[in-house]
Amino acid sequence: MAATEQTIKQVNTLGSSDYKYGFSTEVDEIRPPKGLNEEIIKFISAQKDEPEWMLEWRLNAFKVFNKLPKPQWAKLNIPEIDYQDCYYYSIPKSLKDKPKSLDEIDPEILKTYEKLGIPLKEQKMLSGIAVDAVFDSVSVATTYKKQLSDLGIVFCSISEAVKTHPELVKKYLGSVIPVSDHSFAALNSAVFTDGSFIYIPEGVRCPVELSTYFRINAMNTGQFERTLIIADKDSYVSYLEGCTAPMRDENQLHAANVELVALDNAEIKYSTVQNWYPGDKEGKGGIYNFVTKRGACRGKNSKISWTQVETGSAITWKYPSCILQGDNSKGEFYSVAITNNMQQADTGTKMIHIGKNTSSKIISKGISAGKANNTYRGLVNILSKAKNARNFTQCDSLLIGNQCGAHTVPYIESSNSDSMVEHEATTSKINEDQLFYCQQRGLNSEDAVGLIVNGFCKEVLQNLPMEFAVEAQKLVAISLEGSVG
Amino acid sequence: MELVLNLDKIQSESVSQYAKDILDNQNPYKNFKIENYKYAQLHKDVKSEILLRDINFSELLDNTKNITSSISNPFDLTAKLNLWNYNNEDSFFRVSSLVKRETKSVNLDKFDERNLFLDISQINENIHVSKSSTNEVNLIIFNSKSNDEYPKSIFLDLFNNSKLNVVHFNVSNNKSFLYFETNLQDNSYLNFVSFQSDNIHTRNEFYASLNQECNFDLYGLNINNYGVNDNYSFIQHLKPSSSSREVFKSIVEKGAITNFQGKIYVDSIAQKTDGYQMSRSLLLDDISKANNKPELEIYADDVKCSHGSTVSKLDDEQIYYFKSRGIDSEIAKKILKKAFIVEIIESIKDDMLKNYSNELIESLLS
Amino acid sequence: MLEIKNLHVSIEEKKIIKGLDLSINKGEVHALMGPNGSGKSTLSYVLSGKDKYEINDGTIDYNGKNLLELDVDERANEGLFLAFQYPMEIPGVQTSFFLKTAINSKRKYLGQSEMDALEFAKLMKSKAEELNISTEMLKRDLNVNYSGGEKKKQEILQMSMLSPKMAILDETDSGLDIDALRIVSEGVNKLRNSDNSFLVITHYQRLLNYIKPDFVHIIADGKIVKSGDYSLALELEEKGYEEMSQTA
Repeated sequence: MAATEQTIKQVNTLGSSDYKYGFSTEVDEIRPPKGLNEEIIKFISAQKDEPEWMLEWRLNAFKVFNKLPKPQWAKLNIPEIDYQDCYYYSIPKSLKDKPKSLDEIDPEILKTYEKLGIPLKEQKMLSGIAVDAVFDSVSVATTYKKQLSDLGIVFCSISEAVKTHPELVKKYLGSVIPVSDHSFAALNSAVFTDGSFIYIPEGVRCPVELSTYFRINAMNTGQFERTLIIADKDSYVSYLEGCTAPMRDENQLHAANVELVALDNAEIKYSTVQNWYPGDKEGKGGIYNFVTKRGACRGKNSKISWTQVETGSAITWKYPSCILQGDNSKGEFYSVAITNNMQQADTGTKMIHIGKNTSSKIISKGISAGKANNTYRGLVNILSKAKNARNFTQCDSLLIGNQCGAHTVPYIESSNSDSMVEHEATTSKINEDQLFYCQQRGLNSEDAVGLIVNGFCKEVLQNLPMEFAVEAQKLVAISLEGSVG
Repeated sequence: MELVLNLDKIQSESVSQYAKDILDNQNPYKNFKIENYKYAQLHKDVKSEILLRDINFSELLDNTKNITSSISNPFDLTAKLNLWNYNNEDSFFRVSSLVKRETKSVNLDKFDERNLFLDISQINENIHVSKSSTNEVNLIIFNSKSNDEYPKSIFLDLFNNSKLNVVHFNVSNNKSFLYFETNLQDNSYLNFVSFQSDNIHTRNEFYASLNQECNFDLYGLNINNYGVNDNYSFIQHLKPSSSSREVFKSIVEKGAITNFQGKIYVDSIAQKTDGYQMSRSLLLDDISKANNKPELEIYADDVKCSHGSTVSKLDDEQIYYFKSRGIDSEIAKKILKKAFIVEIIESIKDDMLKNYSNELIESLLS
Repeated sequence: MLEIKNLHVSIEEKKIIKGLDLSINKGEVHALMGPNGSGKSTLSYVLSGKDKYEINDGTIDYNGKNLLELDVDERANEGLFLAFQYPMEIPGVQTSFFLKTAINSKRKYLGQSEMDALEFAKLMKSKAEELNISTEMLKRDLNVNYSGGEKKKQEILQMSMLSPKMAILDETDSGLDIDALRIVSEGVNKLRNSDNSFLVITHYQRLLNYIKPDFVHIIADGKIVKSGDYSLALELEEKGYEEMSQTA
């Protein structure tokens, strides 16, 4: 259905006259024809001026992609995606295609911004008026560029890293998420366009939170984001990823791959607030958010912590995972997933315990409202040599209204007798007594729901860095608007 | 995943060949990335050196009424099979042509005795059991032949206000597959306790549909097993105000693989549902494996549903406490194993059966 | 009875006990007092034989035997009893069944026949009554859903039924209200005789008002820094640990 049709429609509005020239030479106007084939991949690689090995890697991934079926495990209704009907590379829309003033922007979106407390200047940026500056994923880094480079920290786009740090990219790209993992991973590997690269050298504690923010807008770059973070021995980094830029009417495939590598005693904290456009109340439009995020705790005593607040997207398919290879390594997953209206989410994590004394903790809060379906799906696997491994999992689901669904699907596998795995899950409705109490104190029903749901999610939200936590709390409330009569 | 059944193909004596065919050609579970990758395969040849213990049920049989031969009335399952509209690909029985077997039926109301037993080794048709009376009856189900590899299926209809307790002994079977499906009408009550011990290759499937204000308790025990042992349950709450409680305990050792999959499904009109599910495994060595997949699928908001699952070894601190009181670790371990599973034995309603089961478990544990 | 010499203990490479000497004779009651983290509980675990503790140096002689060579249950059956600060909850095991198993384990160790059911029931009933423990409670699972006070009483009940030669009470007073404290202390005092010994580990002097020790030792940073008679406890109550450790 809609996915490709709407993609075509959207792209057509950009001006179809551009396409007939095919691989034209005018850089600013280049947009390859739609379709997924080796030529397109060569084109992307050439545009990025990539070395030969990178192109080979992409082409190999494409071969793998062609052999893999679409992952089937999720409890999602995903419309058939015709990969040949999509565009895989396009430069930013020229200014004339963008809204010229706030008056042209959907007032619903503006209302959301106001509630988020985003100032007018940023509203303009978000709305696509001054996007270019914000699009540049390096720009945030530039603020601290000197400070970071003095410490030996590399923070740049992945395209840049391919050229400036080929040895690191060669060594680690695809080492956590094998190209052949599943078809979305292979697709991303073949056609990835943008993303961050971070290297924290041995013994360095990154003094600032690194972030990419408001990076992706509209139909343009970044549908196939690729991020690679390497924390060398005894280092620490906290990375934030904000996807608060709403989209318009089209369905769009966003298939990202994020790989993290933590060596001995290193720690990576990765936080996401995802608020892609979820589609309208009838389920029209919205992002298909098919994201593969995986971290490898390669070194002993290493730690990877994922925190995610997923409120947007029409469909979310996402399992940030940890491979706990190093002895004493730790993995954490804190998640809030909110689905309202026609949204669907199938999200969770995988904790693979390989090393001794490895531990993992999973806290998942799912909230379902409207006609949405929200599934927690998580694997805890204790391999037979993972002596003394520990896992604790808590999954709570909240239902608001009786047209939505909340589902919990944990997979718990243990092959080591010195290990302990504990899983608990509950499903309940929003507490009416609490609602009543809040209302009796003068809160309107929406504020009351926001308050109670925030309380329900507190354990997760408090893991977010300060500036994100406040925004996330507001998002939680906004996402549930209209869910109670 | 489209699964095409060739329902005409089956002949009762070639079940395993047929099962082999569908499992080889169309089995959605062969792909390990797909949901039910822990499937104990129906067509697997079980050739084992293990000498299964001979369990003597005679004491139990002396005090109960054998109803095996009374299961004789022909019964048409078609309506029943259509009733279950949910995707049933998870069931070995549902995906196989066993569903097309002949069905024989019995109504428990016709017996005056309180304790009835049914030896399923003698029945190769689908078994249909119904009950409408409100008096509490205990039905004992077991397979007396350790080498009977024929897949079994039991359909149980509990009509309005009826009550039944079932104790299922799946003990010392080389290879056994049991499909159990029950339909609980309004206000009915079923307590089902399944003891699984000393088996080599088993799969037990429990399907239950709950209507209004009924109550379903399902308890399972899995000890001393070899090979692969599956328990699969699917409890669907279709009408308001019913409760289900499911507890499975497994002690896994000596290279056994225990799989538990259980789903609680709550329909959007089944408000006030109370669903509870707990699976606990004791994993005693590193050559064995315990897999658990408890699932909640919930579409009604005014419900109370929870599940829990644990895999661990015996608690060292508890063993230390026993030893600090002079009890040696072997005795301590045995007591702790028993303590781990006592909840299952306690769930049996009938005292005679409870005592019998307790002694049986004691002897099986030692 | 018990002779500890130059004991050094560590856990996960962290040194907890650093050269401790303690000698307890038959019929004596010793109190071991010290602040949190001084090594009090570690000593009790080491004496009972809990693993995870590494003995780096020193000897423990118990009635002529090398205590460190005995397993936990052997020590118990040799008459060493530890009343735990945090008694273990054991779901699924009835309290009375546990007691019976413990008693019979000891009898078996000593080459005696099992206690018959009636005799056991009588013994348990009389001991429980002394401690104001209801028979209802003995039917419940061991320590499961017991209050803090009930757990401590349960420990003393086990002690009185097993009649140990050497009993170690690890902060038995913590979490007890004044009535429970009195009952527990009476239980202990009833057991006292010229053949057995007690080591009472406590943070506060309060318990020693009820169980009068013959000797009081102050432990700090893994060593006994001061020993004396009952008056030392009173002095400690007045001055506090910091000052007492310094003056030592």
